[in-house]
Amino acid sequence: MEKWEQQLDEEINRELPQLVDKRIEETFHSLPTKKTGRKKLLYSVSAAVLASGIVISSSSMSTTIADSLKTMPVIGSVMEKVGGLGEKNGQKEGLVVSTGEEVEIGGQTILFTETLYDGNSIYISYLNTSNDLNKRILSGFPTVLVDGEPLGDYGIGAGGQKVKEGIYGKTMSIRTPEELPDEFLLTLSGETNGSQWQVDLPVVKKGTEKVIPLNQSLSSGENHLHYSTLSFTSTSTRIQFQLLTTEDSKLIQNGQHFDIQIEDENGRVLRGIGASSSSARLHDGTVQGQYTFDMEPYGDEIPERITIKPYLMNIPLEDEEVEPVIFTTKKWTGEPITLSQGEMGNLTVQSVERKEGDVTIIYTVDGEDESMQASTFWIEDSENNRYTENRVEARVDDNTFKQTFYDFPAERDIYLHTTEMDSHRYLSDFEVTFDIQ
Amino acid sequence: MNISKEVKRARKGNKASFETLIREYKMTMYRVSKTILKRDEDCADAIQEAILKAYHSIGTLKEPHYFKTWLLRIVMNECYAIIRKQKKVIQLEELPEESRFENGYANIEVRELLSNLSHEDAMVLQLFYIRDFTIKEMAEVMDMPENTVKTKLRRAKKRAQLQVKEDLQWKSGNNS
Repeated sequence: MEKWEQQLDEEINRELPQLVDKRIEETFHSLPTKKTGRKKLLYSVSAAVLASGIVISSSSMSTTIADSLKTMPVIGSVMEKVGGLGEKNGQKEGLVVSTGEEVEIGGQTILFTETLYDGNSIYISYLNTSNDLNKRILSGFPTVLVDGEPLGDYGIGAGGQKVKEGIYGKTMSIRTPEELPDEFLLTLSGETNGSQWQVDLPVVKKGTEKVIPLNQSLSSGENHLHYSTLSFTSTSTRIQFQLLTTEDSKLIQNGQHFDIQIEDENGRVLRGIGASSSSARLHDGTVQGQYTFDMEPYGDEIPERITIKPYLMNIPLEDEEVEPVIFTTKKWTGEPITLSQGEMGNLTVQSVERKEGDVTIIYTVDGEDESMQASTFWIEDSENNRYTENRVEARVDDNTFKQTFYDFPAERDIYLHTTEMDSHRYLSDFEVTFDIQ
Repeated sequence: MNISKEVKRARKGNKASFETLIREYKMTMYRVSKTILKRDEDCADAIQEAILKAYHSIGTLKEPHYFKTWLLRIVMNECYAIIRKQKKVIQLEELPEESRFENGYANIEVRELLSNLSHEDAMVLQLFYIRDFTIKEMAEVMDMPENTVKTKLRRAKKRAQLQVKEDLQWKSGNNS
């Protein structure tokens, strides 16, 4: 490099002047918060699966759906088929509101059947004749209005199952940190397949909510965690906390998933239903995160004591070379069979029942995180077709689960699948046990 | 940092990710702005405007891996907007041109060298010497094929070398 080049190099590559740096930081403070899509749903499918007491005699129902539903063997069984853990309980307690609103979305008629709101999440159920319409509705990320006013900060999850041949029960959950009225008109609108649609649904807050202030702060190095509340509602057990960290804290780096495990005095590990988080970088460079985790509800029997165990899991980055996942696969032969889940534990299939294309499997899990182990299970046929999409596993007993897979070809063998999983990296400094009065 | 992932998050409205990206490129933003503007205060103005515009329009950025050059183009556009504005102000108020050189004798020589080159030659040279700024990125920012940038760079270097030789000859002649 010639002398003039060296001089030019020095001239060009100056350090950032303080006044410019300061202006950049000031500009950050003036940036408005963009609201849509800020929430992060960690369990998008299971979060929304809804139990719904479906009134299928609505006169406004589409002919196709109505005709199909008339032939259903048991009226009202739809809620049993599509209900998740939380929503089933909410439905059982009579918290759902019937709607019967019909709307055409993407060339298909959808019947919105129920809403459910217990103060935590809003659940909506609907029936349609397309298995993939739910995805298409969500791909347009509908606009949500409450009494005509746009909801700023919210997240949406979805799921569903086949109710019977040609009819699908679908569900959607909406979570928001915003204060909502006890009774309101919920409007969903969007664009699917190039056509605009809108539906107005009445929502009424029902059920009881037991909120327990926790107010406990724990620190580990530069990480500070403040447990704020624990609440029990008909649809979930919710824990909320704040995490104050530095920008380079391992807890919030890309490739790390921060999660919690809740275990009660009987050793029961709660299944996660949904989670959301948002974070803000403070002026001094610290990062303040707000976390909400929803776990399966307890119903009437609230535990005496719960232990919260935060942990980290590695999430491979997109451009990272990772070790391949080790799958555990065994063919069902009619006898109980155990599948290894690596460090996490084992999953044992106890029974398989096949009925008109439906495959119902009872299995037990034994290990570190029953909920994660139970949800890491699917079946394939001899052609390697995977059956998972509409699954909603239900807890039958403490560590026993039941899952039904649909449209499985009668002539094909069933192959049971799970994966090996590493142990959680528990953050013992933040582990805490609360006695519940 | 996984830029692509941060861009995707920022595109979805994640403010923290957007800020992370800006912090990653703030040095380059400043250095690029400095190739066009002389005063740091003006660079700060241009960068501020660029950040605001980028934040509001990041949803239009289709390819995350173009974020850096997309951002730097916004910075450059804001720099030129400031120059246009300043020219207007000077014409209207007939203000004297303030000193362009602030950083010592050696830099004055470099600045003089650049000022004797065409605007394009000076720009190509300055962008080339910004660290962490590749020829490929230069091509994207300048909206030219990579080979064209290389050709322009070779020519600009040649002209700069000739300018330096003339300068030295003039200086040595002056001293004799």
